[in-house]
Amino acid sequence: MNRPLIILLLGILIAVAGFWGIYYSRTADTRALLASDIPELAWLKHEFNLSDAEFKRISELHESYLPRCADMCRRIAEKNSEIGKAIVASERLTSEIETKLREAAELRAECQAAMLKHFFEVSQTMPAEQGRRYLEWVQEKTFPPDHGLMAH
Amino acid sequence: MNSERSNESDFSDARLSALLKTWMVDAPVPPRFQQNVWRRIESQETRGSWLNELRQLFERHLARPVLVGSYLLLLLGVGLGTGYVQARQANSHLRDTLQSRYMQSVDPYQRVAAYHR
Repeated sequence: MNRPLIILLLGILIAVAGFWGIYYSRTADTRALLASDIPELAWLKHEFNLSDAEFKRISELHESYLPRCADMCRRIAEKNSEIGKAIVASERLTSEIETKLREAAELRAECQAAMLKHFFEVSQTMPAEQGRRYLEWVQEKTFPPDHGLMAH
Repeated sequence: MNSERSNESDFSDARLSALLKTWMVDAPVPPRFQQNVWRRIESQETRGSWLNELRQLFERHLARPVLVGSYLLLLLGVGLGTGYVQARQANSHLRDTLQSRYMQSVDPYQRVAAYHR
């Protein structure tokens, strides 16, 4: 094999090694988060600089909130289905549809109250500054300025 | 047997040669036929010399250690730069994904919406 070809291939090899070297080192933290048991909670720990004790407490709060959240999910899906069926079965706004819409609004208020309670508990487990930042972030995600019309 | 076949072959070659000598092409040559032929020949020669020059230039440059070092450093830089940009994009994408997963785990409306997507 002649010299120019060897140098050309060596250059390509060095470029590929450089690419993978920096890519793996720069994504190591994120890959570690993904490899953890509950990646979204591991991300929370990383994002809000939580200590192990704070993370343990927040994980417990999260675990205890999940069944309630799953129950709300089920009720929301049922209510959506009921509203959908009532609309399909009617040709005008009936009292039945109005009732179901009111129930859906009440359910939304109940869900939002439960969420907020959980968010406050989580934020109080964090250091003060991180807790404020967490509340601002979840508020932006769950109570957007468009009143949730776009998000949901 | 073989000599008979050879005689036959010589005979048919002679006949073929005689036939070809009498063959006259009377079809008209396409317009600018010669010009086009020369142009194609020139084009082939130019392409060959261009590639050859590039190859020689490459060999000449790679004979100088300073230029070899620069070339290798340049490729290392390209690899590192591309890796850095790709890693930033991958981190940003994964961060967004984990944020969404967290929100879906605590917000029942987002979870229902994600389920129906």
